[in-house]
This record gives sequence, C-alpha cells and structure tokens, in this order.
Amino acid sequence: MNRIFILYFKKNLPGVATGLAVALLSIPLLSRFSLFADPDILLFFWVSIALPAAAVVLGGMTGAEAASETAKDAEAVLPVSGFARLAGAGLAAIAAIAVIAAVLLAVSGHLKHGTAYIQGGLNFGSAAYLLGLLEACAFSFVFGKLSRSMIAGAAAGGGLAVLTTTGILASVAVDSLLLGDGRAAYFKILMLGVPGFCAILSLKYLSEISERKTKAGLRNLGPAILLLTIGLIASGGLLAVSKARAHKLLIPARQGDLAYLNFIYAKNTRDCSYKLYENPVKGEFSVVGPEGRARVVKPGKTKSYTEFFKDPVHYATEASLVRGDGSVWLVTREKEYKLYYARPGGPLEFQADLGLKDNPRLAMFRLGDKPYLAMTSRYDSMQYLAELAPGLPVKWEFTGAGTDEGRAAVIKKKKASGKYAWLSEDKRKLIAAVNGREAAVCSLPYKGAAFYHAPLYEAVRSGNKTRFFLPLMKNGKTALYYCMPGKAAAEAWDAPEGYMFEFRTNHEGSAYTAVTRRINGNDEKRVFYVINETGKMLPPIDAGKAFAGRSFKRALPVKSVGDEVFFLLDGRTLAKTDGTKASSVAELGSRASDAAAVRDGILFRDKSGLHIAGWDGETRSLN
Amino acid sequence: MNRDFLSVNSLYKSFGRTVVLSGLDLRAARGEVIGILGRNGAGKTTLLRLILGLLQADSGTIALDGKVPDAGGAIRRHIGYVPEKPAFHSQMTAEDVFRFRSAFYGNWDMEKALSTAKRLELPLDKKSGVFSKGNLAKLAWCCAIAHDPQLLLLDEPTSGLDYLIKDKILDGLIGELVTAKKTVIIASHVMEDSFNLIDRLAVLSAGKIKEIHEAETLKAGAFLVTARLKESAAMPDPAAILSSEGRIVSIGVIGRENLGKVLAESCFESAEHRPMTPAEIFRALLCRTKEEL
Repeated sequence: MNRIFILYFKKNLPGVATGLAVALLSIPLLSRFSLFADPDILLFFWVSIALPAAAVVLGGMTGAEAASETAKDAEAVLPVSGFARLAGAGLAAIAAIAVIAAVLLAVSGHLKHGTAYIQGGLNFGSAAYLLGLLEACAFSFVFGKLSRSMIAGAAAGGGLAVLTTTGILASVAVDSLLLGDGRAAYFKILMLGVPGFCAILSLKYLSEISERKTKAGLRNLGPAILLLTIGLIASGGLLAVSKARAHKLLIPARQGDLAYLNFIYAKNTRDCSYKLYENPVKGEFSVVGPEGRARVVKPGKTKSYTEFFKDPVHYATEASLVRGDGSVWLVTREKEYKLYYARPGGPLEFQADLGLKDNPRLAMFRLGDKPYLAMTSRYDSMQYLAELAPGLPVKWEFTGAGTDEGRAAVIKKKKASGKYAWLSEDKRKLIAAVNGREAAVCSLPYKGAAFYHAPLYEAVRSGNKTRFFLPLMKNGKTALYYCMPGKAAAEAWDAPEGYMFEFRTNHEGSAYTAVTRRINGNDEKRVFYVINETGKMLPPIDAGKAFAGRSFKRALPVKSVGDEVFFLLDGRTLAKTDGTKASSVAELGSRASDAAAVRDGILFRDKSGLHIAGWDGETRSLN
Repeated sequence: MNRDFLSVNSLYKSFGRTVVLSGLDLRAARGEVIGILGRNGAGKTTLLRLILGLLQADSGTIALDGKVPDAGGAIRRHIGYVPEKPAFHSQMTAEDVFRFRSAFYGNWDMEKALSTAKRLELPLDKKSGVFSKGNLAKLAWCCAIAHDPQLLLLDEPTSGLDYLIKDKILDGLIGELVTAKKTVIIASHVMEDSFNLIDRLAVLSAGKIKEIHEAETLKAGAFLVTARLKESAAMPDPAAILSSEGRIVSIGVIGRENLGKVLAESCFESAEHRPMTPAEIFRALLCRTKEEL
C-alpha cells in the first residue's frame, strides 16, 4: 500500500503545489485592491470555500482515476489486495489535502489575524475543520471510485460529508455552548475523523464487489453500506441526543440587567426558597420549590429539527422576581416585552404588553413586601420605576436622568418602606420611618459607619427578633452593634478588621456579614459573623481556619442549624462548621454551577441537568 | 506425470446472468506448457484472472502448489502475467515501471528486467503513455519474468508483436522458461505461433474444457479428409466440416481410428486425406465447438 500511496501522492503533488502557490501569492498580489486589503478576507475565502471544494474535487478525481481501467490494469496484477491499492490511493488524496490545509492554517496563524473563522494553531476549531475536510475528501474518493466520475464523486461525497459533519458539529455546539459539557464536545470533535476512516475501510468490501466481481451479497454489501453510513447514523443520533438534552435544560432566570441595582436583587435570590428556571430552547419556565421539585409554570414547545437549526436558543427572560411565598413576576421578550405573574402554586398568567422600545435595561426587585420593576432607557439613561400588582396596569414613575438619580429614588422608597434605617447627620442616632414619619430607632454610643456600598441598614429578622445591625467606630476600630426599636444599642461582635458588606439573609432566616482578608496575595478568606435561624449571634467563624486543609477561594454561608453553619465553598463543595471543627457534606462536582440554597438543600446545575444536594449529603436529579 | 502443480476443480463463474465458466477442470504439472484454445468470449481471460485472484469464483477451487488465490493477492508473487492489453501508468518510463514494481516482489531481478528489455529492443527512457501496442507487450513480458515466477499466464502473448520480436519471445523467452521448468499457460484463439512449444492443448467451450489433447498426438494424428459426397447423400456431422463447396467437403479428423471411420463413411463417393497444418487443427477443434454457442 505504501508504494501505491507514494505513486498517487506524487501524482497529486503538482496540483498541491499549484494550489498552494496560487493561494499564498494571492495575498500579497491582491492586497493592493481595497477589497482584499485585509489578508483575512482572502484567507477566509481559501479556507472556507476553496479548500473544501478542492478536497471533494481531489477526492472525486483520485477515486475516478483509481477506478479507471488503465489504473486497474496497471496495478491489479501486482501482489497487493484491491483494498490496499484503493486505500493507498485514497489516503494519498487525503494526505494531499491535509498538506494544503496545514500550510494555510499555519499561514493564517502566523499572520495572527484571528477571526471567528480562521483558526491559528491546533485548537478545537482547527481540529474540527481539518477532520471535516479530510472526511469530505475520503467520501468523495469512495464515491468517485464507485461512480468512476469525478463530478459525481465530489457531489455525493461532499453532500454526505456536509450532512455528517453538520449533525456532529451541531451537537458539539449544543454540548459546549448550551450544556457546558466541554468534555463531550471534545470527544465528538475527534469523532469527526471516524466517518472518513470508515469510508476508506468500506473499500475492503466494495473492492470485493467491484474489482473481484464477488456476488454482492449481504456479506460484502452489508458492511460496506454500514461503514459508509455509520457517520450519518452517528451524526443523527448525536444530534438527537443533544437536542433532547437541550430540551431538558434549566437555567436560572435572570433577575435583570441593571448593575447599579445589583445590590438589591442579588439579595432577593438568596433569601427566597423558590427559584425560577428557564429552558431557552423550549421557551419554558419552571419554579423549583423549597423541597427541590420542579413545576412548570409556563409551558414551552418542543422544536422540530428545522426550528432547532434555525433558532436553537432564545433567552426570553428580561427580568424576574420570585417571592418567599412562591409567587413569580416575569418580563419576557420575544418580539414584544410581556409581563407575567404567577400566584403561589399557580401558572404564569399574562398581565400586560409593556410596549417598550429601544431595548431598555430592566430589573426586578422587592422593597419590603412590594415588587418593583426598574427600567433604564439604553440611549439616554432615563430611569423609571413601577410598582407591580397582579391584575393592575403598569404605571411608570420617572425617577431621574442617570444612575445616581435612579439609585437615589430607590433609596427614598427603601426609607419609606419602614424596613430600613439610616444614620442621623451627626451619626449618633439610627433613624427609620415609622407609620410614615421619621423617628429615632435608638441612640448610638459611638459614631456609626456605613457598610460597603450600602448607605442604609436593612432590618434583619431572625428567630422572632427584628434588629438593625450596623458598624460603629469604637475607639478608632470598627465594632458591630445592633439596635432594636425602643431599646439601647448593644454590641454584637467586637473589632472586625477590614470592610464589611451589609447583612444578607438566608432562606431559613439566618443572616450574615463578613470581613474580607487577603492571604498570600490572592486568596480571599473571610471571617463570618452569623446570626443563626433562632436569632442567636454565633462566635465569629474564620473560614480559612475552620476549613483548614481545603483549598478554596470563596466561602458562602447558606444555612444555619443551631451553632453549625453550612457553607458553600467555591460553589462546588457543601461543608459545615461550628467555627472550630468542620466536616464535608456533599461534593457537587467540578462542573457544578449556579448553586443556590433552598429549604431542602442546594440546587445546582451541571452538564447532566439540575440537581439538589440535600443537607444530609444525598444528591438527586431533578431531570 | 504428477499434474498437481496447478489444480482447477469445478470452477464456476458468472457475471450477472451470463455464465462464463460452468464446472471447468484443469490440471497442470510443474514445467508443463498448456495451450488453451477457445473462441472469442469463451472465458480464457476469465480463467486466467481467476487463477491470478483478480476475480472471485462463484464456486470451485484453484490451487497453485498448494496456495490458494485470495483477495490479498499474495499468490501473484509466484505468477507472471502477460495480459492481452497490457497497461501501465502513462507517466512512467519502462525503467520507472521496473523500479515501481520491484518494491512489490521480494525476488525482483532488475538486471534481468533490463536485459530482457534490451533483448526485446524496448526503449527505457520513453514514457509508456506513448508506447505502441507492441512495446506495451514487450514491457509486460519484461515485468512478467523479472521476479522469477513459478507459473506464467500468457493471454494472447504475441498480439501486436512483429515477427522478429515474436521469434525472440517464442523461441527465446518461452523456451528458456520451459528449460527452467516453469509452468506456462498460453491462452489464445490463434495457436499457430505457440504450437511447437505446448505439451498439451485444451479446448475451452461452453464454460468447460471440452477436449484436451497431447500436442504430439495432434501433430501425428490430425488429418484433413477431402471427400466427394454421393449424389443426394446426407451431410456428415456438420461439426466436423471445415469447408464445403458443392459436393466436395473438407473434414478435420483427430486420431487414426477416427480417420478410418470417416474414410469408411457410406455417404462419400471418394475421399482422400493428408496431415492437417496447425491452423487446420485449430480450426477443426474450434469448429467442433460451434454448436455449443
């Protein structure tokens, strides 16, 4: 087979050299014309159009030549099998294309003008492109040999290669972009080499029929057909599986796109035991409740293959809000902006067409018990706010021009809600709105200070106590104090170092803040100040010491039970500690993402879908 | 004589609905030269290609010194083949062809190939794409013997060759092969050139070997009977008639006992006989296959 390979490769060399010369010389020669001034354009043409065409033409031509009577008579008498003869010729055509492709890819990489289509160096894109090209050449060779025609071979081979490659690449795209399953995508890219290899292998059986005139029974025809179509079958199968997986996808519905309000709605997810998920393929919405069970609140539609190719994914959520009672507010955008509401346990019901233009930014949040929809117009930064109520029209309130005015309007509403307190001008009193009027909550023994980026102090309700926690400057250092209406301020924790963010409440009623420490320049370890679910203030928990021996960057308290606090480490490990000893509860996996605490455990996603890891460490799938 | 060197048993081969070989048997001893005579389309080339393993038989067996032809083509290391229409890669010169083919045979003798080419007056530096029919045949001959094959299959081996080269091949090359105890099978519809070389002559007709004669028997016992038929007498066996003109018929007879029978035919008014020429022998043998077509 080697000699046959060399024979046909030498035959193809003049074509290879000519093709490469034309391609490479075209870059400097045509660059004087403005249309081709950018070498990327020419390289794009050569790589995306000319080279695939060359692959099928060369494959078809070599196959037709190998099937010619002259070639058969010249080579068949040699002591090599018909398969070796044909495989040698086929591999020579494939090698010729590989040489051209490798040179062009190397040149495009060297020029370092990476575009979305031209890949420099060996990466997934290059590998997929190269394997697809070689597959097209292999198919064209086989069909050229069968039909004895270069044109028929190129057309049939190219068509089969397109069908096979499209299915596999579509599946790769779904896996890597939608499902986050890079490993499966990588494996499937490598599979692109299999159909071409099988096509060459089919020659073992086809040569028996066409060269040795063996009866075309099942013994030869069966394997030949199977080998020629295995790529198509696999491609269809992989695409079907990926499509089915995509239709089961659940992605957390986003709350909004207003960064300046992030400090509000980030909290809204953490303290709610209901989570809203979107399937962007089906256009379906589901609510996962505290017990970790999914319920469809807005059914979607399974897409046909045509629809799936045409428009595979559409993230419809513009803004969403899920409240502690399980009710849901949702703004979607398909062609129009639509508002939906689901009462607790019920489906999403259409409320209003919002009639918005020019693609504004939206976000939903609650202030106290009231849900709000905030909007910033994209082109002039005008700010608007609307209080939402089911069954009532949406009335926009203009709150200012610019994010500062918008933020100020939200702060004003927060103050009016009675759930927030703020410092007096001399910083020695805590003020809150009581029955619509400002009143002092308590006097402070020292001057108050602000939490990081939070000018107000939200009331923390845990156990049956409602308290305002705030930092005070005690003898030049920061101490955490709390105020209860009608009572004197009391010290909670002494002298935490560094900056603190405002208290955040978990779904079961525990609350926490943390002081950040940088260790070894990069690692961030925090000291946590936790109020447990009964309202008890726990001793400070140094996460770095409590979980000593573990490597992690971020720790997040998600639940407390008595003196123990459950932490989520880097979003992938659930562990618990009382500040001195710690134990692991569950490993969510290295590919876990979007971990969120609910009543019965931690909801998280990985490549196989949505799961819940219970507080006892047992994990189950929600798919 | 032990005729187990080449053994072909009950060979069947059809192409679609066309049955070419239907139960063909043939055996040859080492060093034997067998001529296979058959009309156009009788299946001579098919038989040779089956022995080479280039075709797969529908049923039956072939064995060359115990080796069986298969898809792998290994048996072709032991066979030299001169096809009826030799073909080579047009861009290769004769020397390129020798070099190319030498890689496939462990015992390729380049010196022998080159010396044979010289002997046959084959140009070494011209591309085979411009070769005449004769030069292609010469190149095929050089390739067929360069690897010292045990069996030579020659399909119309002198077709396209001029008389001088024909003599060199027939008297020279084939003679040397016979001396070296190589088995040779010559398939042709024209056997005159090779008659003096063959040991046995097989007649292929209707997919089988119908007759097989020792060459010496044919040379010594083949007669042409020219007879005058009695008025209103019926024609004798038309298969034996080589020619007829009015009441004069020429009949080919193989074997002395058959000669006696023919001469005693009651339908003849008069008859005389003489030994047949090789051409007449072959015509007579082929005539007998006419009715089977």
